[in-house]
Amino acid sequence: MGAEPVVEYAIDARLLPVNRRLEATQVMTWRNGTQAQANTLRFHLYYNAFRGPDTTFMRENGLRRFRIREDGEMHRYGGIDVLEVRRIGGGNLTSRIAFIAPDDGNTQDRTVMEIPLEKPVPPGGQVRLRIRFRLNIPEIFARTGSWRDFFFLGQWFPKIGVFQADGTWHCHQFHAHSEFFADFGTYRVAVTLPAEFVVGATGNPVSAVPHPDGTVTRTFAQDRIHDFAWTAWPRFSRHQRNVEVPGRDRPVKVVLLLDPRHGDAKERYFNSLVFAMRFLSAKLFPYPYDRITLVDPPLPAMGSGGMEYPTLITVGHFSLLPQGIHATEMTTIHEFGHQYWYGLIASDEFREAWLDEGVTTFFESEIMDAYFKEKHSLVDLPLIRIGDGEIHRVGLNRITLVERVNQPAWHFLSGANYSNHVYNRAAVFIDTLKGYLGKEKLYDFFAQYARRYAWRHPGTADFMATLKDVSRQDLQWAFDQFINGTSRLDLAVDSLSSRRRNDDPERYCNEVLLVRREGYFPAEVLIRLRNGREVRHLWKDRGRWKRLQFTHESPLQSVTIDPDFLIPLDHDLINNSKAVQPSPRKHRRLAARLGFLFQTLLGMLFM
Amino acid sequence: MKAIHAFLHSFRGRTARVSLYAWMANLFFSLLAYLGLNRLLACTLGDSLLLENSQLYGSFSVWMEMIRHGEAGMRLLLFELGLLALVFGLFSVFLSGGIYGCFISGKSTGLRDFLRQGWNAFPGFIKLFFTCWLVWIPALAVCLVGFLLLAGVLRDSGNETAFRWLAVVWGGLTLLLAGYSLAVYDFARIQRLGGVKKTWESFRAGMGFVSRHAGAILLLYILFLVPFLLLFPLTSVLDSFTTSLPLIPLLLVFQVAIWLRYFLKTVLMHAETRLVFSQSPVASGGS
Repeated sequence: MGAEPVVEYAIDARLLPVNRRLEATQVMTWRNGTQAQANTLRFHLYYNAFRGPDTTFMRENGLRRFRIREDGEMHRYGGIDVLEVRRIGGGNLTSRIAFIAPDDGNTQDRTVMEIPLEKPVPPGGQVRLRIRFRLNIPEIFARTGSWRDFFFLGQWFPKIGVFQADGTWHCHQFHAHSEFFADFGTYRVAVTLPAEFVVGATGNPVSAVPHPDGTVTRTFAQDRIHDFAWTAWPRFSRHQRNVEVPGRDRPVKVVLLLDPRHGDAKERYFNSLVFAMRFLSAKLFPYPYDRITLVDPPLPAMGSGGMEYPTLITVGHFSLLPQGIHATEMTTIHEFGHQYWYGLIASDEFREAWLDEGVTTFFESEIMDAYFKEKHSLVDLPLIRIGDGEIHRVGLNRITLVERVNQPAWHFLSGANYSNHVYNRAAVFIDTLKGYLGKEKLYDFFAQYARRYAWRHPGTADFMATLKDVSRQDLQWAFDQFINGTSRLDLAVDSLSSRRRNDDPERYCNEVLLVRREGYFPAEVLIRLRNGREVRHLWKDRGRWKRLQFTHESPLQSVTIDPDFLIPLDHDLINNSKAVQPSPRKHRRLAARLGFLFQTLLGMLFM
Repeated sequence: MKAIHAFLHSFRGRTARVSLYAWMANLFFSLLAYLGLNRLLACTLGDSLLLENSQLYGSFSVWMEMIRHGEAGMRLLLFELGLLALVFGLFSVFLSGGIYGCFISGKSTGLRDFLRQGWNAFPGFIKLFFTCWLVWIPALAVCLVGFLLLAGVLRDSGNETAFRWLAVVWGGLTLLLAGYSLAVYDFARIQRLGGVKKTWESFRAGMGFVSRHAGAILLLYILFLVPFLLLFPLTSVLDSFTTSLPLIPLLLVFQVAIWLRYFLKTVLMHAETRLVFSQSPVASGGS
């Protein structure tokens, strides 16, 4: 499994917590694995998204007025300054640095740095650079930054883009709704900071060297990953467990860095994470790294919560929520799912975000439903029960303008449209494929896809090709409509009728009209007759309508499309069924209950 | 002991009878809700089997489908019900006039007398109603603003434990304030019918009475609240046991539950009048 590492990073960083700064030197070796010559290098400087109100990230987020908080204080901006770039064995490249904005031409955006090389990197060749940089750490609101003495450093170092086979760079600006994409590589990061800080990071700890000035240098290393994040806070309460995972010859170290005020969440974090790890290890392949670190940020730094990095995830817990709301478990399971769908099967989060977010969201529901009870898995309170998958279907139905799921993240109309497509529509689509192919077949596909593309960068075409291999079915028609196209799906029972035959009054002419209001998906139709008999019919022809006519001794009772609810992608559930003589009993009982509720409220007003 | 005595001696036919009037008014105002909700659900669902399939889809999904499809009708109905609740709130001032009037005058609890008492008491009671709101809204607003400010500070400090305690303390204070203001409102109305003519004086007399007899009143409220609150879980247990019950018996069960709540409230009102007039032999009228 997996391709050769393309890049090696060795970073020496010093955190200056009082000044909220970080000074670092990075030695990077990059190999050109393509057949094209690289005349320039491009780097992501993600931290510059927080440089001011006019960056592309701030503009797209609608945060141009962000600098003034509600209480009138100034928000702290941040940014990264590249102080020096030297080619090892070559010259000083600092003066060649240019900032480019390949996506939107925003001259105020400095999240992509280009360095023309005096000597190109030939195919198969490599380049080593020494980069000195400084971070001004912003106040946390989106993933990275600091709050008081809590620090979370994500997307914090100059990170080389991906050089593509056609000789161009895949190095997009930092957008409001896009995440990240990079080559696999080896990371060795040494952080020097005051000794009282508890530190968590991607990878494994290698050493901790104390210094006479009260600081300590902690070094972490990990190979076959594509990003590195770390956190430091003196108040973290650190917990560690060794977890046996089937298929591994040694246990995985699970490290939890907990806000000490979240003691009630400790077991919830551990238990849900271990469940998710064992679930995905059994269904896909065993979790391959020796360690996973969970970071539970304090409430005011929650902007860093709910995010995935290789072998490190940030979660989130709010003590005021009742235990029956499983947000803590949901976040843990979702972010751990990204260890596979992003971390290992490293699809392009910029251009095809559905491949990691949609698949992870689908697995989140699968794991939540297995961990808790289906239809209760997200909320299980005395009067309110919500399944995790139900929430995704609600998100899908909130889409007012359907866009292509498979498009660059910054092309979506809005943040809500991005998340409702990339997370919800994609997850519900996969759930619908589960109904169509069967759970076993779909899981078999995911296992093969995951093994085939572990430590690689698959795209939608690879996903579809593997699906075709495993299912032996061409599902292009489904992807064309719901992933690469803008169709909704709405199957409906238009009408049904029964009349006695003129020539044989003991028998009935039964007629059902089914219509495809939008989209196409084969569906089973359940026809119930008044004498209790049931007939199932597979409606798979592609016409906009289908008239079913048959003669029977019994008239029709009702018709239901998709009686086993295997097509959650269907936009409208109300028109999926019809009865000849609908019994008002259920409506009336519900109206009676709601009326009683109102009557009780009126009773409360009587004073 | 006076409170217990007053409460226990208020379970009587007169109390039950006036509580029936209050329940009937409630039912009358609720009819629109019953009919409107029935119409709305029928229009939204048509001849679909959505509700029959709620186990399959999940109850949350079913609700979301109904809300999505019936949104326009639901908004209109919610507006109508909100308006209805407002009118009923004012009408309840009239009802309480009838109830207190019957208890204090000691006259018949027949419908005609009830209506007459309500009519006579209404102008004074409505003034008291607004006076109480005018006094207590700023008090509640101060509490709320204080809470929000403190919550903002605690949120920025990240101290969730303190945040939780703040919520508990604020909830307790709000309940106390609400209980106190309701007691003042009740006893101000009794004072008004007992002979205090001016609104503000009635209000002050109510406050004075509540302050002087805080212990007895608290006991009285506990005696009322325990069975009153028990009715809620009891009703939901009954509701869950009646899934196979036909609609009419189900509605009857609901109405009995509603009437019981009114009965307990009128028992409390009767006990309040007994408590007042047991302290003041001159004004002793009533039952």
